[in-house]
Amino acid sequence: MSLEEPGPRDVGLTKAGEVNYDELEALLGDAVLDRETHLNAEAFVIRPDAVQDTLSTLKEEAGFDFLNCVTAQEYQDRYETIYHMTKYDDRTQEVGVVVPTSKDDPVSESAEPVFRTADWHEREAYDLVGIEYEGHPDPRRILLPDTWQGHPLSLDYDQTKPQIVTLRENRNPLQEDQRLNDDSDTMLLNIGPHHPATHGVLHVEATLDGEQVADVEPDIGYIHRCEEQMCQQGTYRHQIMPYPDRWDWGGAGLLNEWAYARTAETLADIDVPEYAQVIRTMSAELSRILSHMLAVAAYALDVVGDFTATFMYGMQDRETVQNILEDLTGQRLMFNYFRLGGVAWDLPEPREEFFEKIRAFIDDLPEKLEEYHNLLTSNEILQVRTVNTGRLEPEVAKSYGATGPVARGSGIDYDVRRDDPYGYYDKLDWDVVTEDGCDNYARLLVRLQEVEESAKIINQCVDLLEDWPEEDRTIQANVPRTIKPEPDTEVYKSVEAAKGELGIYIRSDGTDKPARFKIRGGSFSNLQTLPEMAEGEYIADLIASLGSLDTIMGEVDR
Amino acid sequence: MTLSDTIAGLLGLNADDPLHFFVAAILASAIVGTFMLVNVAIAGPWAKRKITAAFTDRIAVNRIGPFGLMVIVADAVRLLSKELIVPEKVDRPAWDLAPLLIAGSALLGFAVIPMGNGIQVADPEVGLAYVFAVASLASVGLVMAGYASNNKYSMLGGLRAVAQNLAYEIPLVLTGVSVVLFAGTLQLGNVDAANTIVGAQQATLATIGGIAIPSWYAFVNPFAFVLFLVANLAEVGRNPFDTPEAPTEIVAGYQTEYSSVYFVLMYLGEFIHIFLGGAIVATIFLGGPAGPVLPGIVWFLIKIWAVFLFTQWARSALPRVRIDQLIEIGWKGMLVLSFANLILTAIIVGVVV
Amino acid sequence: MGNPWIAIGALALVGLLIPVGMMVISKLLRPSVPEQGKRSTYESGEVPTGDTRIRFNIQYYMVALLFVIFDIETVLIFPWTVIYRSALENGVGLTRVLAPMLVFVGILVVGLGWAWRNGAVKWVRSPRAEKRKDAR
Repeated sequence: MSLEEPGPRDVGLTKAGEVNYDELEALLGDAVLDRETHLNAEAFVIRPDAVQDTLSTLKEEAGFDFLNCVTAQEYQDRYETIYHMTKYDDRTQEVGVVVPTSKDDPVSESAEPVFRTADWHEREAYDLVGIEYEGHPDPRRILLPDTWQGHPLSLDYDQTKPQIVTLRENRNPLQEDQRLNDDSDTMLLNIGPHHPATHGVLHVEATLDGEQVADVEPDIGYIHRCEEQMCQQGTYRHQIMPYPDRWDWGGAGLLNEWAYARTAETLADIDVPEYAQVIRTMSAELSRILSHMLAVAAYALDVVGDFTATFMYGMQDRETVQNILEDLTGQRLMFNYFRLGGVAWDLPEPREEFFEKIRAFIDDLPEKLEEYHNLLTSNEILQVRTVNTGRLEPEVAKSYGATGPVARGSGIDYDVRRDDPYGYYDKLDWDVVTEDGCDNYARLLVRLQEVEESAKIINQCVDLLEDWPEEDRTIQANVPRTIKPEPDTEVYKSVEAAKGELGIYIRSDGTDKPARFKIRGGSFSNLQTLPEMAEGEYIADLIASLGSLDTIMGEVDR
Repeated sequence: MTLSDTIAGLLGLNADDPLHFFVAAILASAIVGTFMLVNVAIAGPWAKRKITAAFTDRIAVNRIGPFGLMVIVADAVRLLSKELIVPEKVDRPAWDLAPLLIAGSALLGFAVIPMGNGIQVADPEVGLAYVFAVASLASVGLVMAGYASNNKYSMLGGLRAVAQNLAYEIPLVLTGVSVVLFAGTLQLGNVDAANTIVGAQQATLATIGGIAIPSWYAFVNPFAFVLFLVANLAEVGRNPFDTPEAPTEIVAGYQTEYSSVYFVLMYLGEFIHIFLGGAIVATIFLGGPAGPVLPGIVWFLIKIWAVFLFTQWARSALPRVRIDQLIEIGWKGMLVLSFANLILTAIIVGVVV
Repeated sequence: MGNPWIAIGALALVGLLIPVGMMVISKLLRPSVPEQGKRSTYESGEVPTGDTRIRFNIQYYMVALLFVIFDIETVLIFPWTVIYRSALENGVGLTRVLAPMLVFVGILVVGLGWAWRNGAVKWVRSPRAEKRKDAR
């Protein structure tokens, strides 16, 4: 490295390859007002009118090409927007950009021109907290109805105030330009919330010109239930852990629990015993298989048709995994198995029988996956339908902050499990699956192959657990009954959940409950790419693209 | 002898008197109509579920009656006693006529189909042309339903149904007509009427190990048979060609706004149509109701149910093609192949004769 | 032997009476609870924007025109197929029976090839949607 010319990527790095915050501060110049230390990274406090400059400098010159999350919050004396930035090449390099705005005039510059993903994040910040973003192309509410009064996460919000929500027809965005000429009319077709293919209560406003989609806009918020605020009212120790399960009813509950566990354990400085880490890794990967199987099965519904055998095959294979997880956690959907500092209880007795069950599943899996490949990926009609449709170029995907199988299907080699290791992943032998197709087919392939990789991980975990000495089976670290982190400690941590990166930001205020709890759902960013993939394509491909994103509304709407 | 003639004879009516013959024909039609409705009643609420369940490793209806068969009665009552909701701004009477047309036209096709044991309502000289004409009437019904519903999914479904019909009607008819080159007549006829399409298939094609193989056109020209089966899948709108309904894209296509008895009629029409497709396949390619040992009617049932099973199999296993791909498959693939088949058949017949 | 078309007319009547009969039975069985809300057109639970009576882009318009031509030509093939075999059996030469039809089908195929080359035999892509895609 030392012999090479310092490329653009090396700016702001120390010799050891770590982020050199002093150099970054110098790079940003007089935009920086102050510096904060968050538990995950340093953060620069900048002027509200220098957001675009700062973010594009960090992106272009220091290589922070991933705007991971945008957190907005209100303090007693100010509003604050935090841009959590990192790199697709190295997840461990992080930097925060804090933008304070005054109470009287909560306006800061929009980051949307630099990162497309800021579009939805800033709309959400405006919707829930009330910060306005200058230069935002579409400053509307996103989760709540347009007629909503007040901002629910602001400090002076009156919860008892009655709200009027109207049911009106949606505006056709292409209405104006068609009356001018003799062209055909466009038609605004509402796909969802009550539609067989929207995977939950998603509403897609598709403007059609014939069978083709001329304009598409996902409309979310139908099951928004203020999960963030609910978490802010729970105590760290026990009351928050059940919520993450509710953000993903596709079976990925354990992965989501880990997101909270990781953040809170960083916050409270808890070390998880190694034995518990292995159990966590194993159960989380089982959970991932549940979710990916559902994604593949439901994708078969979308592309193949309503009565496809593939769907039921997927359900049956999930059933085996659900039985295993039921033995382990006592639950089939809302597992609630992780605890801060470990897991709720040890593996079920007799252990041999439990391991036997998992091994049987792992042994049968290749044969079953072969069946999916026969029915789906090697079927010519399905290939004609999915190859080269719903294209998402890597650069576009990065700008939208796409993660998980969606990013990996666009050839982006990014996986939090490997890039910012947690649990036991870095001690196991497995690969990150990427496909360069960038299309619907590539995303399907990635999911099927990730099931294989998960099986590899589970197998190694079972090996480890079988030989684990009996006296060393600590499932839980010593965790104080009440956790009260220092006031104003801020942390943002994420894990690789099934749909993408699931990040959680927590700010403490010295009590046993978080002052701000922000969730970054992987699906939230992934869903935002839908117009990129579907505009100009056929309705059928819009549905296929939507299915290939594998969004879950619990995580999008929260 | 058609069934109408037989009944006229039994009742002592004069078949040459139009009024007398009409009475006899009504009775024959009632028998054939009821017979097909029974088939549809078994297929729709019960067999379809059981077959799909078997393909997808499930159990399906098994609660009411033996093998869950009584679900047919339960479903019939349930569906007929549902409230009929007429959506705003539907285009009546087109909206009301569409289900009638779809159900009625499919039934009409069975007029000329020989079902074995003398069950055949009529046997006109242009039977084959007639049956193709009647079978494609349903498309008109689909367009009516799609456009009159004032529902966007319905309209898309109706337009797709037209596009699909445009793509597959010509290959279907051209392939069907290629058997006429062998038979030299459009009359469907019956097993014992030599100069008809069914009759001509009873001749022995070859004898293998003492077993006489009849010259069913599926054996004589397998290429045409396969082509026809594929075109027939498109005609009845089953995977990979169920684009007009495509539940995950346009909810239920042209039938989205139909409820209660209208839904029953749409559904019924669809199933009669599948059986009609099966009956055409059986008649022109599989020797009609002929077969060893069992009576003709049983063979006829076996053949149309086999085609029904094939459509359900395709539906469980094959992905759906996109609408633009469908047009291309129809015009750039099937049409060219069906022309090739026609000429090939003509040459084969020319060489053999 | 009676006139087969009378029998077919009888089946048409039965084919009409059966659905009508079902409609009558249903009319007797079913409730009627008129209410404005449930009469709205279904569009995934949203209020529909506009209705379907618009100048919608029929992207297979050219194919539909071609269909009319080809369908009529198909009708012309019918009589030929009927007499083909008996003509051969009555000693008419193969070239005399087959050649005219080969020419006829040949013209059709050339026409199809021409339409194919000119891009008429396909789903016409919407310029508006394509423009939006390119702008992305």
